[in-house]
Amino acid sequence: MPAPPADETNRVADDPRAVRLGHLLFFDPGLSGAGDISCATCHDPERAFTDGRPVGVGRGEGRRNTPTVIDSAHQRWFTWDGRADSAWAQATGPLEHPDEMAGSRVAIVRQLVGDPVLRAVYEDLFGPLPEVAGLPAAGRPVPAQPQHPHQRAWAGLDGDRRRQVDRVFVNVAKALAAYQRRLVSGPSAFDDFVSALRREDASAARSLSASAQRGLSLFLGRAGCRRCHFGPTLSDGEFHNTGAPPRRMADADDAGRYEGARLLLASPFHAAGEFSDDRDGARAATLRTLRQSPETWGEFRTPSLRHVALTAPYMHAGQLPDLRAVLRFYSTLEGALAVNHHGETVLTPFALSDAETDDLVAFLESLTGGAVPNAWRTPPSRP
Amino acid sequence: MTPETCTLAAGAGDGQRTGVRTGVRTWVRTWVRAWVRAGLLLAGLLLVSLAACRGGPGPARRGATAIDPGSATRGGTGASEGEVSTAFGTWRVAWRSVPAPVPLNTPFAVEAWLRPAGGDGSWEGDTWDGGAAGDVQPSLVIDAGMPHHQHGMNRTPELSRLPDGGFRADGMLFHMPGAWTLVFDVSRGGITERAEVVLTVGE
Amino acid sequence: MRPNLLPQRWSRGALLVVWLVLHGVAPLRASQDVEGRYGMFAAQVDARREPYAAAFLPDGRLAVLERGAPGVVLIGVDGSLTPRWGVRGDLPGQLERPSGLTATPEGTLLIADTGNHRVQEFTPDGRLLRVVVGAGVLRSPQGLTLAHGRLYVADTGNHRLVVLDREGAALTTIGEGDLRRPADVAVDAAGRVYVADGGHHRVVRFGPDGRLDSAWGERGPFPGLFVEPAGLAWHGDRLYVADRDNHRIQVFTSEGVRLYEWGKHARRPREGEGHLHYPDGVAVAPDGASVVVCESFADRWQVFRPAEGEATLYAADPALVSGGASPHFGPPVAANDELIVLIQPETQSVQVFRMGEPPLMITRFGGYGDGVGRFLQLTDVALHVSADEQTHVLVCDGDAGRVQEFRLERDASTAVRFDPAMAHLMRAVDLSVVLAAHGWGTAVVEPRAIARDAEHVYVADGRGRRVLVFDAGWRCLGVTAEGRDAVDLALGEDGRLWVLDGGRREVAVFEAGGGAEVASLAGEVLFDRPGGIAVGRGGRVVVTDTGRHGFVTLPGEDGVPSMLGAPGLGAGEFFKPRGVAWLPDGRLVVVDHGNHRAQLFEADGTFADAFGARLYVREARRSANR
Repeated sequence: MPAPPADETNRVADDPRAVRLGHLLFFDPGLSGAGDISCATCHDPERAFTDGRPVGVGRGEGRRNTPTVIDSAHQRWFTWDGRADSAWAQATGPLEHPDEMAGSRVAIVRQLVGDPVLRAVYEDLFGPLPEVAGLPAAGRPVPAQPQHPHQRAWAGLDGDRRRQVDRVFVNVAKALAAYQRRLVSGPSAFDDFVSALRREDASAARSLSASAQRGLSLFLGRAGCRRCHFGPTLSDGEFHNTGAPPRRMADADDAGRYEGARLLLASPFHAAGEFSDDRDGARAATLRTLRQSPETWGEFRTPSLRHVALTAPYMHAGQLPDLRAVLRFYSTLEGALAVNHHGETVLTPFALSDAETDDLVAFLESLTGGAVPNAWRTPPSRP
Repeated sequence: MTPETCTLAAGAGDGQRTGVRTGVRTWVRTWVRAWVRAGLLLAGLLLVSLAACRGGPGPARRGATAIDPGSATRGGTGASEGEVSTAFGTWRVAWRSVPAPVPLNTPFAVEAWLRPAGGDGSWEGDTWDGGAAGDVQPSLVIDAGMPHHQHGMNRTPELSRLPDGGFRADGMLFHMPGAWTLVFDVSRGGITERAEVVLTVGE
Repeated sequence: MRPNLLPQRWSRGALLVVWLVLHGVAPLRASQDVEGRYGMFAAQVDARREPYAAAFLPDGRLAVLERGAPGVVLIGVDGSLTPRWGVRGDLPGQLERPSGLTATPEGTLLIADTGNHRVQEFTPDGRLLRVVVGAGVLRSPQGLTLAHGRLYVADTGNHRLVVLDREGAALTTIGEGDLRRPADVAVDAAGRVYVADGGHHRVVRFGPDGRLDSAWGERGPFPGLFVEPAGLAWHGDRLYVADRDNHRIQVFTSEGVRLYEWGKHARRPREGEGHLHYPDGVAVAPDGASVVVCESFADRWQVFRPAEGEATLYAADPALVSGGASPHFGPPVAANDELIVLIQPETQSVQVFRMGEPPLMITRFGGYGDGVGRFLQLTDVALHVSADEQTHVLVCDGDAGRVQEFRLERDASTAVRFDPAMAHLMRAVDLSVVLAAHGWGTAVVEPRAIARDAEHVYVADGRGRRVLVFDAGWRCLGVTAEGRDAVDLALGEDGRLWVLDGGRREVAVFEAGGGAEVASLAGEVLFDRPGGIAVGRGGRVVVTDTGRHGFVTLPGEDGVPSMLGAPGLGAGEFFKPRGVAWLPDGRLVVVDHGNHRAQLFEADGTFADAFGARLYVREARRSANR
C-alpha cells in the first residue's frame, strides 16, 4: 500500500503538531453540543473505526452507515455522497450535524479557549485564538431555519467575528484530518501475495488460501467486482448506483450523489473556497468539471474494501448485515431498486454458487490488514 | 482476466488437496507466468494509474503528416495519440492525451488539432461556403463515454484553446477499466460531425 | 378481467358517489386529514373522451373539459349531470382539441381552444359569450387562469405566457426565452405566477412584476423532479403539479419545497382507482374536500380525498419508477427488410429490433439530454441504407430543433444479440442554423417528422407548418407543403411525398423533391385524429387513427377506404395507435402506443404477431388463438 496522496488543501495535514491536536480532539466529547459524543463514539477504534450499526446514532439517528476512517486519506471524496472533497471539509459536518455531535462552531471556539491543553497545542500551531468575550455560548449558520437559536446567534455576529470563528472551526477540522491521515493499516495477506507474485516467489501462495485465490479469480473475472473495486483501497473512489434496496421505504428517496454534488458546490469548505490552502490546485479544478445530472441520483461512493470484513453492516444505509448478504445481492440483484431510467448498466447478475460465495468471502477477508498502531487507537495522554 | 487464468485458479484448489507442495509450486509458477503475460494485471489492481494503453512517443502536431493514415473513424485500441476522420470525412482530427498513455482513474487532458479533410487538407484549401453565416471557424467539443455500460464520464471536461489554435479538454477521467470511446464533435454552420476513438484502459 | 374500453354511460350510482365525494360527504370512511395531505382514491369516471382539465364553478359545480370529443361536462351540486356540450370545428363557439379551462368569478367558463389558437368564453351550459382572444396572438394555447383581474394564458406554441386584461386585450408577455412549451399557469394570492415549464421539465415562478424569480426541478423520475409537468393548481398555500410522465401529483410550497406526492403507476392494463396514468389536469375543490385529476391518455378522471397513514402508501413505488412499469413504444416507427426502429418516450431512447419471431431488440441508444447523441424530444425516426450499405438511422428531435444521423455497426457473422454500443453518431444537424447559414431565414424549426430516400431528406417543421427539403448533405433545396400541419411523412416508390395533415385531417401528395401538390385524399370525414402514415408497394396507403383506435387503408379492397381495428387489448385491437410502416415482405407494423406494444399484420390485414410489453402482447396472442 503506497503512502496516501498529499492533501494540498490542508497545509497542516502532515504536521505532527496538528496530528497531536487532532488526536486530542478526536476523542474529546467536549466538541459535541451536550459534551457526551466524540468522533470516536461512532468511529470506534475497537470496531475498525466504525460503530457496527446500520446507520449512525449520535444525538439522533442518521440515514447513512458510519464508514471507517482507516486509510481514508486515500479517498478522493468523503461521505457516502461525496459532499466533501477533503478530509477536513468532511470533519466540519458531524461536529455540527444535529443527528451527530450536535455541536456548534462558536461553542467549539469556546471549548478550545477554555481547555488549557487544547489551547496550548492549537496556539503553537495556528497562533492565538480569538477573544471569546462577546461571543454567544453557541452559534452556527442554519440558513434554512431563520428562527433556530444557533442561526440567530450566528446572525448576531458581524462578518469579522464570523470569519474568526470559521477559521478556528476549519483549523479544528484540519487537525482532525491530520490525525486521521495517520490511521493507516499494515499489509494484508493479499498484499503479501501480490508482492510475492511480483518477486515470482513460489512460497507466496501460502499467504493466501486456495479458497481466497479462487475468490480473487471471481473478483477479477466473472463477478466483475474489479470494474469499480481497484487501486490501493480497492475502490475507484467514484459514485455508482447499485440499486441496493433501502432499509426502510422512507429512505428510498435518498438522492445520494445528486444531492452530494449540490452540497459540495454550495459548501464554503470545498477545495476552491477561502479556507482551502490550495484554491487554484487540482482539487479545486475538479469542482469545475463536476457532473451535475439526475443520472447521479441514488449513486453512492464506492467504499474501500480494505478491512471490509471488519466493517459490517454494509452498503450506504447498512442494509445488508454481512458479506454473504452483499454477495447475494450483487449475484442476483434481487430486490434491486430500478431507480434510474438511463443509468449505467455496470451490474449484471452472475449467479454465485455457495462454494463461490465462500471463496469470495475468503478473498475479501484476506484484505484485512495489520491493525492501526495502538497509540492511535487510544486517547492521547494529556499532560 | 482471461479464461485461461480463471481455469488455472479454479484448478488450484483441487490440486492442493492431493499434493500440496508440488501442486502449489507448479500452480504458482503458472499463475506468475499468467499474470506476467497479462501485463501484471493483479499488481495493476492495486495501482491507481495502471497504464494499459501503450502509445508511441512524441506528440501529434497540427500539420504533421497523419500518424495513422489508414485509420477511419476509429482509432486503434490502446492508442494515446493519433489522427482520425469525422464520420463523413469532412474533417481530420489529430489528438493526443496528456499524459500519455491515458491513465486509469486519474484526471488527464486531451489536446486536438483540426484541419479540413477536403482539397489539399489545408485551411487555405478550405472551400466551405459559409453563405449568410460568413466565414465561420469550426468548433470542437471533446467528450468520452463507455458505450458498453451506457454511461459517460463522471466529469464534464473543461474546454479551452491552445495558443497554436488547437483545442484542449481538461479534467477528463476514465474511472473504470475497459473500453472507452473518445469523441470529437466538430461543428460548423449548424452541422456537427463526429470522430470516434476507442481506447482501452486498465485491462 | 377485461378492462373497460368501450364508451359507456355512467351509472347513476357512480355519479352519486362522485358527487358525494366532491362535496366531502361521501359515505366512505370518515377521514381525518392529519397532515393536510391528499391521495386517498375516492372515485373514478371512465370511458370519457380525453378529459384534460377541470375547474370548479363558484356555485360548486364541477366542469370537466374533454378534448377528444371537444366540450364540457358538468356535475351539478345536486348530483345531476349535464350531457357533454361542444361542437368540433373552427367557427366561433366551436372547439378543436381544447386544452385549458378556468372558471370566472361570474360563473362563466374560459376555454383555451388550442387547435384554433384562441380563447373563448362560454356560459356553463355551452352558450358562446365571446371570443376573448382571437387568432394571431396565441399559438396552441393550453392552461389558463384568471387572477387579480388578469387573464394568464400559457401560450404553449410560442413558448411564453401571455397576460391579458379581463376583456382580452394583451397587456404583456412573460417568460419569453425562459420557457419551452409551457403547459399550465397558476397564480397565488401575492400575485406570483407559477408555470409548468413542460419542455424544460420544471416549475418556474415569476414575481408579480413578471420577472423570473425561482425555478425548480429537472427531468427525472425522482422526488422533486418532473417529466413533462402538465397541470397546475394553487390552493391554500400549496402548488399542486400534475407531473404527467411521472404519473403522479407533486405538492410544493411557494418556495419550491416539495411536501409530498401521490399517484402510483398502473401495473395492469388500464389500472386506475388511485393509479395514475399521464395525469395532465389537476383541480382542488375550493373547500378543499377533494382533488380532481384528469387523465386524457386514459380517457378518465379520478377524485382523491385527504390521505390517511404513511405518505409512502400513496407515493410512487420506487421499484416501479422505471424498471417495473412497461415503457411505451412510439409514437413513430421505421422499418426496412431487416430492422424495425421504435422510440421509447420515457427514456428518450431509440430502440432497434431485428425482424424475427418475435422481433428482438438488438440495440438502444440516445437518452435524454441536450448534448450531441442525446435527445430532448424524440418526434420521428427514419431508416436509410447508405451507398456503402451501412444502415443509418435518422432521428428527429423537436425541442432541440435537430436531426441526428447514426450508423448501426453490426457484425453480421455473430449471433443476434443485444449490443449497447452498436449505434455510432455520425452527424447532428441543427436545422435553424443550417437554414440561416444558407439564407433561408432565421425562423426556429421544430422538426416533427422525417422521411429519407436516396436523394432527399424531408423534414416536417411543426412550427413553420411546412416541409423542408434537403439534399443528402443537408443543403436546403426548398420548402413544400406550406400551411400544412404535417404529423407524419411517407415516401412512395415513385419518390412522391405523402404528407399526413393533422389539422385538416387529410393526406396530401407532392411531387418528388418537394414539388407541387398533386392530390389530396380523404379528409375529416374519414379521420378523427390521424397518427401516422405509410405508403407501400403499388401505392397502398395506411393511416392510423389515434382517435378511433384503428387504421384506414386507402384504397381498400373494393376501391374505397376501409377501416380496421377497434379499441381493446386483443389482436387487431388498439389503444391510441400512432406510427405505422410497411415491411418489404408486404406486412405492416403498427405502433399500438397506448397498449405498450407494436402489432404486425399480413398484407390482407390479418393479425400476424405482436411484440413489446409482456402483458399486452399476451392479450393479443391469446385473442388471436381463439
